[in-house]
Amino acid sequence: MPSANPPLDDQLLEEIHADQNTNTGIENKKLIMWLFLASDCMFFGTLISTHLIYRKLYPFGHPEEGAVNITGTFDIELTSFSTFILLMSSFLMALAVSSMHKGAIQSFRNYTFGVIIFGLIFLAGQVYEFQHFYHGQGWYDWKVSSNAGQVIVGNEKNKLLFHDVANTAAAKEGFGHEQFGLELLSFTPAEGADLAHPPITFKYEVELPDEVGNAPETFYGEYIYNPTDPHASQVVVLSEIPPPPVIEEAKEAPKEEASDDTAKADSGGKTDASEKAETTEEAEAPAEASETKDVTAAQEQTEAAEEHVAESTEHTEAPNEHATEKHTEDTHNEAHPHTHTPAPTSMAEVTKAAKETFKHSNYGFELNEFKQVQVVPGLDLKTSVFGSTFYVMTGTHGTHVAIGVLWLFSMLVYSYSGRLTPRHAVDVEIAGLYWHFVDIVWIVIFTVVYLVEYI
Amino acid sequence: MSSATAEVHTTHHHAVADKTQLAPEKSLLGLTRPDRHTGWIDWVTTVDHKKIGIMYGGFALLFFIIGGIEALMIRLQLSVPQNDLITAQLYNQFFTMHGTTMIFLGVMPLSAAFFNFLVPLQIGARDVAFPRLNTFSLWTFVAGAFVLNISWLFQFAHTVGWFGQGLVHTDMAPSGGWFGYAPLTGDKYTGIGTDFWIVGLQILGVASLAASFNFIVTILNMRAPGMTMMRLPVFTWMTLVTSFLIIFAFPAITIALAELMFDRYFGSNFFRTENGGQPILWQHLFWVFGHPEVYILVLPAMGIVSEILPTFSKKPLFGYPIIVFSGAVIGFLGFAVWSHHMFTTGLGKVATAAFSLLTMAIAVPTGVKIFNWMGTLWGGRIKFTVPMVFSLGFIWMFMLGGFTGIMHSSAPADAQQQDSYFVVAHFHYVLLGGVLLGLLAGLYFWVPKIFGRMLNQKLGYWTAFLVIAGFNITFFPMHYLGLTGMPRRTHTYLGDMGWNLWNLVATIGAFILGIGVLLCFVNIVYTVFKGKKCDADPWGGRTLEWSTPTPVPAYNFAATPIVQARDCFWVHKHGDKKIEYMPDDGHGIHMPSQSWFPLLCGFGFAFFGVSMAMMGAGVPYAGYCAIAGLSAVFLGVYLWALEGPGGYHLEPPHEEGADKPHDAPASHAAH
Repeated sequence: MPSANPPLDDQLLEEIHADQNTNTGIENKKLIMWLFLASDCMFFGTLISTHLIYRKLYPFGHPEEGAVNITGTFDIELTSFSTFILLMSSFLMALAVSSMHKGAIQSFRNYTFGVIIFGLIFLAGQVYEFQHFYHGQGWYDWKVSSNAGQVIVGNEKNKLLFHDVANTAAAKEGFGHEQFGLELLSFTPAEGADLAHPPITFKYEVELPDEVGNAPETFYGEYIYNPTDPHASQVVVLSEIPPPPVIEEAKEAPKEEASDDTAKADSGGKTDASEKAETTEEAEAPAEASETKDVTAAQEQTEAAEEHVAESTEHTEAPNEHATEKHTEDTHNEAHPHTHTPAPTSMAEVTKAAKETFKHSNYGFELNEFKQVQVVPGLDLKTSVFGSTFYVMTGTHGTHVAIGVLWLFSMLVYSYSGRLTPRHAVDVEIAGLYWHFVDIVWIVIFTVVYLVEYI
Repeated sequence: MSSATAEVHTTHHHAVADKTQLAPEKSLLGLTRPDRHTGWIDWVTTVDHKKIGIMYGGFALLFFIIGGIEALMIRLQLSVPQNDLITAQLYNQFFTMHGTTMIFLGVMPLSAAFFNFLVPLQIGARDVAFPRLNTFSLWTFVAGAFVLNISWLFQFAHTVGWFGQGLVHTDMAPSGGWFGYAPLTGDKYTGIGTDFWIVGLQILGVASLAASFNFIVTILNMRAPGMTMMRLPVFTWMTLVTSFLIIFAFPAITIALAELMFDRYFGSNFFRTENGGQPILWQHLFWVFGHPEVYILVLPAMGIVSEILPTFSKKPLFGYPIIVFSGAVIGFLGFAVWSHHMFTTGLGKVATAAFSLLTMAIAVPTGVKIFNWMGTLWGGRIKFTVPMVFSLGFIWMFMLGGFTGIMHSSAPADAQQQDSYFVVAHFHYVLLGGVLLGLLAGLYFWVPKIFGRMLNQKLGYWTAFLVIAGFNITFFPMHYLGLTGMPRRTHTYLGDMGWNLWNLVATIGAFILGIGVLLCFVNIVYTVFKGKKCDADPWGGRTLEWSTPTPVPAYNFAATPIVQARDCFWVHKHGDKKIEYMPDDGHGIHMPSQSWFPLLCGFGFAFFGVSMAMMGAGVPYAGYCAIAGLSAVFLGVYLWALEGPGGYHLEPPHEEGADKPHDAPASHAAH
């Protein structure tokens, strides 16, 4: 047998390969990429047709009508944005290929970096989307009303806007202020909350814009939702999360504890974190009570405004009829003996901020009634054929994007190490073919899976 | 090579040497690039299409034996009524694994063996377009075959009480039939046998796809000068059509299997009827692959026969363009007839009529081919060599299978024949009488080229006689059994159904067939080591592969041939258009380097497949092992991309017959 000579170096190999003119005039590796993409069309074709067949058979994603709220699931704005990003990444990819052909390696690096970033944004969008679809984040239509006749209607994912659907004048009276721009900033399941296993703890965040030009104030709360007994789930604990700015009314301490117990009982499946928080609060209650008297005796007048903070907090914590009515009657001039203990945590500033908020924004606003208009369980592989086809199809696409990002990232690194030079422009072109294909597939998926629902 | 280039080359040499030290295969995995051309390391890391072809052939023959034993077990069980030789479950496993093994591990790899060995030689190329991808295909195929067949060991371990005693389902080897109808193959009804089957087929799909991409690029891009598409040998043409069928048909089953896998592992609802999954979706996805698959199996055999008939008729192939286009039309129409497997599911009148008509239509190009082969024989000086006998057997038996196929195209008739032994008879006539006879013809025809030794002709005639006779004794009675109502896949039957005699006859025939096939394999093994040596062109061949020395040197052609005619080697020998050769370009023949990484990918796939099945069985940490296996595959592919094609130079021998090694001359010493 002939003996082997030492290995050839890259340059000579390149010349040799350049000498081998192919019959078609297309480089071997480019041709095989086209063939792979032809085959990949069939992969995605099969996945997309599976989805469409089931979509047509079960317009609501499940044999039982209405099992999946498809438009409720989709966040069309986010996905449109992702799609746009992916399209733009293709544009950058084309520029990167063109730069490499011209030998402008620095431009190639810049554009490729852009493609990678855009690809990562797309992937991040998909991860976000999957997470929220899975947890049923977007699957709830909520109707939240206040005791003052304000009604919150929303079906957006993270942001429930307050709409004044009651008589404005009456509402004004109820609030005692002209402040209607209240916004529920977020309404998300607490850490570890499992929508499949109620009761579920949600965290919310409410913003109170200030009419006098101060910065808007934010306060936080917790809502324990029990779908098996919607009545029992109407417990709202304000300012619990982040770490409790413990503000309690001394005389109502026993009641407070009772309602806490109720809350706890209602939230049998609550996370450890929230249970712990409650326990802490209970344990601190006696100490607070004794401290309360001293503080109130000495600083009754100066802390008048602060009392209202506590008042509101208390009401929302224990939204029984009595408390609510009492609260509605409250005015700024009334002072009740109460106390507060600064939370011994790093979130002391937050506590202070919440207190400050209530000092001058006692609008009688309470989140004392959360009514569920529609419940659709979180979307996962198991709940419906819609979920099965959706996740497997978009997941396959996401995997393609991830591989593309890894590929381009490798090219970027090797362009710095000197492995990838303008002589390898065809390699970049092949990666570009792949990237464009993945983009085109997404256009099809976006159209036939997402957009079609909005026609 | 100019001196300037040599200088640049030299300066680059140091950079390369530095890079080599940093190369991941050295620093990461401790794998230096192998450069041995002998021993087992050469065989497992080779990128030579001829060695890969030989290994494909060896594995295919091994699995033919395993699949054959499974078939004989089926026939033994059915030889007498109410037989209790094997349990119903074992019977299910035997027919499932028989079908799967014969199709995916027997016929397809044996075809791949011919593709690998012959296509580059027939088009005048020195290797396939992507030599390492070719190695990857081989080891991935071996991994898939391993995963499928290792299930038998788990079945054994389960039976003797070593494994999986707590599992709900006791089938450790696949038992859902070769088309694995869901939801029968869902987790409700079958156990980890189906997991082995799903993952094994997916891995085999990767192997087939990679090989097909490679062959299409090779055939389209690497033909020698003058080897136009209409001068391509028909076998190469059929390889091209088959490869296109594979790249368009395999995705459907891959996705169907992936969906079934998600159903089984992650509780999705693709085929879960209680949540709206549709069993008919599986049938469509499977058969939109499954019917092209039939042509994937038969087209290479047609190509082989199209090479052999003209050689032994001493005539050019009659109507070459028509044969080629018929093959392509069969490929196209093959995608439009899948629903004839599903006439009894109630597709509706229009769909049924359309698929009936298209199925009848596909008989037209097939018939055209048969008439062209007859036209080739007509007036020829026919030599009844062993390959010729097998080829004539192919035409005859395949035609019989085709006739029953046309019967099936009529939906009302099909409704009567569905799932009866009539169907079993039909597809065995097509696949065994057709494909296997064609492949055996190919073996007898090309083994002298591959090993430089003639297969024993006397044994060959005996093989032909035993195989064709045994085959007909086995399968012809099945037409009758089917028409009298014997259902397919029945584990046993009552003695008063009137099926006793023909079942016994079929079993006897199966053993005759088995002896015939065994004789053939013994012949091959004997020939490889002790056979009578022969020269490079023992049959008076027509195509380029016969123009190379035997055994074929690593570089195939010392100089690239320039082709001037169809059947160029025949014309070269007997006509005026001689094969000319490209002038020596001075820098020797560039040969690709071997690589470890395709083998690493194969190990990764095998580990992944077995781990997935263990995950199905609830073995702890199996899921992590599966991820590790798949990571090994990705790592292998990535490092293989990093190591680059590499290569070394060979100087072709200047004197004929002297396969002299080239001792690095001054111009190359610098490297």
